[in-house]
Amino acid sequence: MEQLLLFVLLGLGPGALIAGIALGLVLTYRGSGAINVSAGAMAMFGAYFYYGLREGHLLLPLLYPDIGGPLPLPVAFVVAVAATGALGLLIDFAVFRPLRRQSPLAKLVAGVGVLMTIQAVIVLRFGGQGQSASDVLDTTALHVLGGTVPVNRLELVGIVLLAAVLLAAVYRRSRFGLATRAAQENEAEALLTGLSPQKLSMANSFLAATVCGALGILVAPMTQLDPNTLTIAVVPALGAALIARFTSFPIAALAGIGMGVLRAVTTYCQTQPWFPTADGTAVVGLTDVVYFLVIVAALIWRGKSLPVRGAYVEPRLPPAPAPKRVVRPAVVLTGLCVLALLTFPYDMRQALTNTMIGAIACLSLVVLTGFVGQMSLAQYAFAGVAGLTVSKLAINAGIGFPFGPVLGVLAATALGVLIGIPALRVRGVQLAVLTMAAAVAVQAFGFNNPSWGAGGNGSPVAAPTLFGVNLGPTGSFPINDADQPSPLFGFVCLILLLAVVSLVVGVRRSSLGKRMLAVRSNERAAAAVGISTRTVKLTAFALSAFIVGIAGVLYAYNFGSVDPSRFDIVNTFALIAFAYIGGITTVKGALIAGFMVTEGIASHILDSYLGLPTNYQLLIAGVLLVVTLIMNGSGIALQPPPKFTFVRRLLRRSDDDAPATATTAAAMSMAKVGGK
Amino acid sequence: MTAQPLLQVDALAAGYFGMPVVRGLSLTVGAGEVVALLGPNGAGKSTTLRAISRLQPAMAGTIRFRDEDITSLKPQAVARKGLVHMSDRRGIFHGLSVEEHFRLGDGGKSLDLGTAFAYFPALEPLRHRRAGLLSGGEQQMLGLARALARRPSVLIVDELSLGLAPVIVEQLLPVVRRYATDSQAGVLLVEQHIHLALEIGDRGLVLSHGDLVLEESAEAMRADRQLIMSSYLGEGPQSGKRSAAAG
Repeated sequence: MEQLLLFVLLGLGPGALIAGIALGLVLTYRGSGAINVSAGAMAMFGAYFYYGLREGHLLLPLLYPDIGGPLPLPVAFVVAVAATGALGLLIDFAVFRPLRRQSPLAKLVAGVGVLMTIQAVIVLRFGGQGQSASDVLDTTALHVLGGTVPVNRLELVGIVLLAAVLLAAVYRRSRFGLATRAAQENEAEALLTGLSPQKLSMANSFLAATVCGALGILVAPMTQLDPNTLTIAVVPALGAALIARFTSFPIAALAGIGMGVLRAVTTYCQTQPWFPTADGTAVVGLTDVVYFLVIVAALIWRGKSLPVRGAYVEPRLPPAPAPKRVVRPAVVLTGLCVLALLTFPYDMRQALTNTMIGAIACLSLVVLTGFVGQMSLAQYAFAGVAGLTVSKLAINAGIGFPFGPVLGVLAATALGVLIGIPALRVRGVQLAVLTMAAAVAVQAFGFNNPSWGAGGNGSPVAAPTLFGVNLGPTGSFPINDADQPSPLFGFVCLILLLAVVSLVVGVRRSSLGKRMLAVRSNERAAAAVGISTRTVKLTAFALSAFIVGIAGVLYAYNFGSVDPSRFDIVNTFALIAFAYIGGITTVKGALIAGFMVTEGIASHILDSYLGLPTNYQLLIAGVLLVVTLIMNGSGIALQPPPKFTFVRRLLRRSDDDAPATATTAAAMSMAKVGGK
Repeated sequence: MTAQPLLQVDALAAGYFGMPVVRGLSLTVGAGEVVALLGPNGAGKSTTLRAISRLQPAMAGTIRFRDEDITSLKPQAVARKGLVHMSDRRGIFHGLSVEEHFRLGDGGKSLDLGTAFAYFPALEPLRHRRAGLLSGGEQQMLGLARALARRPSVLIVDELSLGLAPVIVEQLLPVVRRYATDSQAGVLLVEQHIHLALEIGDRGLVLSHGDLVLEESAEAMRADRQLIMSSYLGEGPQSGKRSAAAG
């Protein structure tokens, strides 16, 4: 019992961090109506900035200038907190302000873009490995309950609770607090009162960033200073903020500390003899499952009563036009792919294969996000489940091709439906929060498990063979198979890509597609005309998980093993970024996105031939994701085709130029009308 | 009334998604004057008010307030200058208590709670209650009390009567009249209760499909019902000019 209490006391450190991030989430939500998933990344930025100052460097994007020796601790702390605050202001000004008329989902995805950008900046400077952060608070040991606890744990809890009480008082009593509450309730009325919601939003974002940054700096020495740990701490913080209805600061802080204590209790339980084991060691990742369950419970309990921001204008969604005349481009592209597979050198062939698999993964988002307006941050978790099922079935049950992959895809679909079920009670943004927690839980509890997951070196996948022919990347083929991957595997990917494209095109053209768009634009109105929003959303989830499951199986065959790091949530972030940049509402957009995915064709050319490593590509992708969202999220696919008027004038006579432009304009406006 | 009107709108066009709903509208509101803006549903009355308070961009024309061009100002700047727009959402915030509404002043100073309670004594016992828990009439009182406590030099009001019993409307409108006369402010009033509005108003304007179809003294409009009827139904000299609904 005493030992348990000791664990709880030690858990107060991470708990304070979660509480701090939760306070930041509540502040940003009340100030700008955005659920800022990059709050954890801001804490991480603060911690790294402080680390840089103590090392005698100034941390800037792509630069790390020397400032002539390390700064003393208090100065470094203040400067680093101020820098995080400045980052908060910048993000508010450059990201959330231009998006204030957009849907809440767009704001959330923008947070993903910010997260990616911050993470890429840090990884480019410090790499993915952790640093040892120096202590900021007093580490004197207290002797309690027959063990020792550093006094800083208690100090941290004091700091966080003080911050929460102060914020609550400010919001209740001060004119700033009243104004923020008024603007949160109705922006237009606040404007008419002479308040400036934009300035209020900036002030709140600044406060949020400073709180996150300060806690990041203080807690980093107790957890780990790496690009992931602090960033992903946003998941339990989201749970805490949900429990607080994104409104109450004291509840958010207490729930956050509670989340930290939960982790400590789980760790304690792992030391007990009765705790379930796998392969002789205690089961890992149970904490993340608990966090997921807490978030599910909080959503079901609190989800419907989250305060919504009174918007003055209904957000305009990006158009999702039904594809017309698909046969010709399909035939041409297929022909080009076949030609490329038969002629490309092995590295470009691999890149093309990655592109095709990436396009399939992006198509899963087209259905879910582009058509139905739901967001899943668990896409690679579904893919991983499919891949892992293939691997485990072959190893443990001897089930191989073609039944293994079918069962794998079905397993992914089942998981998608399972996670989609809470979606029946919650809508939009909150669902994204749920899938984020699910992705982390599946990763930690499922993939990292040495027994049923792929812990360690990954789980091997045998090549698919049909009638003795190896269809995998290791197979042989009469033409162009000097090196792996075999062009035959490319053809398998191509056929599946064609099948999935046909599926998505068919869905968009069918009445189901129209119902999906109705649900996307207004769930209540859709329900009022007799559409079952539940069925549509669940169908979309199942379809999306099914498609990404196919991608997962192909990834597994492609790499010959299932490696947990390939199905990380960070990869889902990148996938979402590429899907948005390409155009998340159309099949064409997904194909464009396929070219850009990491290790796809464009990425490979940039990396190997033009010298732009993937980490820089991710930095650019994060920024481009935000830019795409600000431009109404329609992506490259829906941009008007470049005019090249000058070239055209050279090529044609001026009199048949005019009607041509008129038809293009007419076709474009029709496409827009069709997508509404 | 006076030589220089407080509010002067010239050739205003405003609308949504590039389509004008109001076209070429010109109007003035002088000191101490109550102008009633009337018209059937979808005529563009609320759009006009939103364009004046800059909540919505003007597509053409100019808006002058106290001899200053405000056409390109931000809504919050216009509000702070003393042009108060009480929208059909009443300008209240459900999460704030009655008292808090008066601490939420413009320009950093609290509003005079005493004046507000003088206009509406019924609000006094409710001072600690959240606005969301007030009845519709009480909410409207709060909204109007707050608008008046801001001492506007021009007050524009959208449908004071919306969702209220006629008895309450008969209480509220005279308060507006009294404020205009007492503090020589201008009032532009959008109202569905034509006769009530014309009783307290000095002039009446009728909008139909975004065009100004009638401008008369309130007295003349009260006297000749046919005048308003034809302007609403389009049977007057303007008949047949426009058939497609614009708003």
